Amino acid sequence: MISARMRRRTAALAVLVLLSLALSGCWDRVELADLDLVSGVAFDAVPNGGFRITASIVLPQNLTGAGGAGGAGGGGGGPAEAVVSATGATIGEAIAALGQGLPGHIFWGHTRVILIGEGLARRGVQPVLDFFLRSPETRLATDLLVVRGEAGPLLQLSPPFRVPGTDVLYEHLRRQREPRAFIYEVAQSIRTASGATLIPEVHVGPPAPGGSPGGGGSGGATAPPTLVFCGTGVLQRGRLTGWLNETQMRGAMWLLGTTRRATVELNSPRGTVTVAVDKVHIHRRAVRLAGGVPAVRIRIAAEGMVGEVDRGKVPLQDPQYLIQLSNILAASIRGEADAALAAARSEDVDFLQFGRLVAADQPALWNPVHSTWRQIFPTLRVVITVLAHVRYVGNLVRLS
Amino acid sequence: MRGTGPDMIGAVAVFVLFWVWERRNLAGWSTGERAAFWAAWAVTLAWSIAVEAHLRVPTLPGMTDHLFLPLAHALLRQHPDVYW
Amino acid sequence: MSPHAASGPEATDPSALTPLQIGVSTMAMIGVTAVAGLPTLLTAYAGQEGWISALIAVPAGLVPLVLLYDLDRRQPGLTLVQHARRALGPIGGLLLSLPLLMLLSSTTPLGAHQQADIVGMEALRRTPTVVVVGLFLLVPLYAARQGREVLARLTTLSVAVAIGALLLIGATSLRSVRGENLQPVFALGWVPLLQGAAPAAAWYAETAVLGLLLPFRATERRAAWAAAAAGLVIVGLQVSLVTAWDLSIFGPLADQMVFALFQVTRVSNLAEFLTHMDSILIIAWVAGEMARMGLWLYCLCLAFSQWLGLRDYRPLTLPVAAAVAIGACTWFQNASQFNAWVMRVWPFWGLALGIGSPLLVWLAVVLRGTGAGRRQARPAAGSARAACAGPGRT
Repeated sequence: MISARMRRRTAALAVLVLLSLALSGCWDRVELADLDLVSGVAFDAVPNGGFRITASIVLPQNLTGAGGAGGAGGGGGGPAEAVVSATGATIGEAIAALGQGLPGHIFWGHTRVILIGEGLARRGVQPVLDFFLRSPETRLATDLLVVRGEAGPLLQLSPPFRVPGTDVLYEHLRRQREPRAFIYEVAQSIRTASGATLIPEVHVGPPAPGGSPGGGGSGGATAPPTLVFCGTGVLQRGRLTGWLNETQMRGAMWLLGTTRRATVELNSPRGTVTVAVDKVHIHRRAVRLAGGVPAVRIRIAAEGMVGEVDRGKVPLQDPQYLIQLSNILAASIRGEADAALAAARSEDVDFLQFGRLVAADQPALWNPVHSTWRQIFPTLRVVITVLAHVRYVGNLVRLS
Repeated sequence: MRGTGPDMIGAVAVFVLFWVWERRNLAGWSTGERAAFWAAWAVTLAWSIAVEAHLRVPTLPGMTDHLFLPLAHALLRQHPDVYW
Repeated sequence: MSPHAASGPEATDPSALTPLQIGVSTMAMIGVTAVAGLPTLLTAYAGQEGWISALIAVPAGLVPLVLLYDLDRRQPGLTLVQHARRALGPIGGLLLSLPLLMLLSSTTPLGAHQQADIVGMEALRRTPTVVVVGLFLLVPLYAARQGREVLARLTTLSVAVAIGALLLIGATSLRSVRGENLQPVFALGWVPLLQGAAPAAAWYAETAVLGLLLPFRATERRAAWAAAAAGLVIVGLQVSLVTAWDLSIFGPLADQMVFALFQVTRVSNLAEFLTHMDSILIIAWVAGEMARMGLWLYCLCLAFSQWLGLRDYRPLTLPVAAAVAIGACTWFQNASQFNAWVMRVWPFWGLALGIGSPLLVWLAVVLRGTGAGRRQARPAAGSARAACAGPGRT
């Protein structure tokens, strides 16, 4: 005779077992092996308003010991990634076409970089942003880059330094030598009064000199491709309107307050030294001038160490010389900042986010001007103060 | 729960399962409790059948919108945030 | 599970709630859905000052607590429905309890719908909604049938898990936070702040439902009510913090992104290694929802059983849970209709019923003169006090 208590326990156990069947998922269950992991994706414009998507799909079975180059593997015996491409009138259509050629379910959750071709960037990146923001799979802190020319071919390259190859782009951006543009930040900029933001630019450079990379396949040496980060694109309401060269880009980073470190070559009367700036404090503030006119004050404090003496006999033991170097460093930073400011004014594009600064710090002044900010911005008074300090000379005072 | 035969079968199956669960307890309940139990199930099943048959069933927005939307239009307005 | 003594439903469940359990129950009942749904509403109405609206609205949740306190002082140990019956008799009590029953009947399926929307849209897109809702109801249903103590213990555990998960998500998204996105402060004026406070106030006014839990306290009245008030204040702070966090990360996008917390997980990462914190958030969500749904289901069934004069609420649990599932699945055609209803109608519906239900009962009790103020009255048959043993209850 089974007691009531035993019956209850049995029933409870049966319920728990039944419920646990649902833990692995039912309708939404997808096996890990059935996922096609996208590590990088490129979007290009095609005629008639369509899109071409090029995706780099990771091949996990080839990842261990694999080399990076397309057809050559290391110990893994196959390429670490496969690059596929498809076109469609909309992004959704292009993705559906892409999926038809793939065995599994496309998973966007591991996408590290999104490349936008120049043609599409000039047409507008909003459809790309819309897709990535709307989908719950994607990560919002995914880097966006613009490519001069077509973006798809860039994914076909496989630089040997990282597997998958798109990680080269990702790791470079992590070092923050260029302004980073995450999807959500670019989307935010569209909804601001200035509507502008910077997006890092990359293009394929000439092959690196020298022999083949380790793990090359049979046959002749193949020089590894190089990716060149040189400058920055300017997006206005999601459309590419121009480029900043390297000097302007560095100046923009100073004025935006996003510089964390920098390497600056300084020409002094006694020689040329390279200074590594690694302590940076940037303070931006909007102020109210007499007459109720807004202005922006930016204070840049940078401290660095002599990294290298390139030419000449520089008296690093002389404290006056270090002060002179500090002044030259300040002037260099000031020059870059001025170049960025001039570029912003000449293009009438507030990619330095001064409008947001005025709105945040001087809301009473912002109210009457926000609808005409684009006209007001070129005449906005900007006061830049740079305090630079070369404090250390490194472990060596002089070599000769 | 809209629309299909399998949903109806599922609903009936759930009801049968729960009736089996409660069957032993029913004996120990008072008349009022048993009446409330059956009445509540009757209402729930009737509601479920009405929904499945696409009959016009009261919904919360249907009952409240005409009362409160005019108030909402008058008192609650989204202001464009110009400070971005 | 067979009842019961003749003295009322509470005889089948003599358990009493400690102040800690009351506090976490308040947090679970209000905070789970508030933290999920309020940030987007607050930023839609009040822009980057939405986090301030979340704090301004807190007094709206204290009003029902004050009324419940006075009711308990006049006649200890009675639930809100029992106060209504005592004041106006069975028929009058029936009518007087209607606002509370409407609040419970509408809000329980609403909460289930919201949680099913979150899980269904972000995680389980192919799973039928009725299965998601059903799974969300099973454990709370079982816990509700076991009584207050089981519910309280489940809540204590769930709230701790939920808070731990939220803290982890907050810590791993810290580097995306930009304090300047919260500026300017107090630049929009009072009107947007008050409009943003309206839906939050309606949410906080759900403390009226505590009129079905607070009478079953294990300690003196002040400690119990202080715990409930503390729980409410913590919820207000949580909502404010989540809103501020969302704004500081997403800035002008914040009012366009649904389910703010989920969006924060999409920028969280731990050392560039753990970048998919979604499962952590779903843990917090499900844990909190289990507790919340159990409490609301319990209160709904208890209120109905007392309204009908039944000895025990348990016979109603299964059919009421099924009805909640039907309401959750069928009331709204799509997410936009739900969001629009919550944005425009809920501030009035929730506030009117949340404050109106204890207020009407309190007015009836005061005008009828039932209860003798500070003098303890003899417990009537079916009162919560009849079978609850507890030290020092006043």
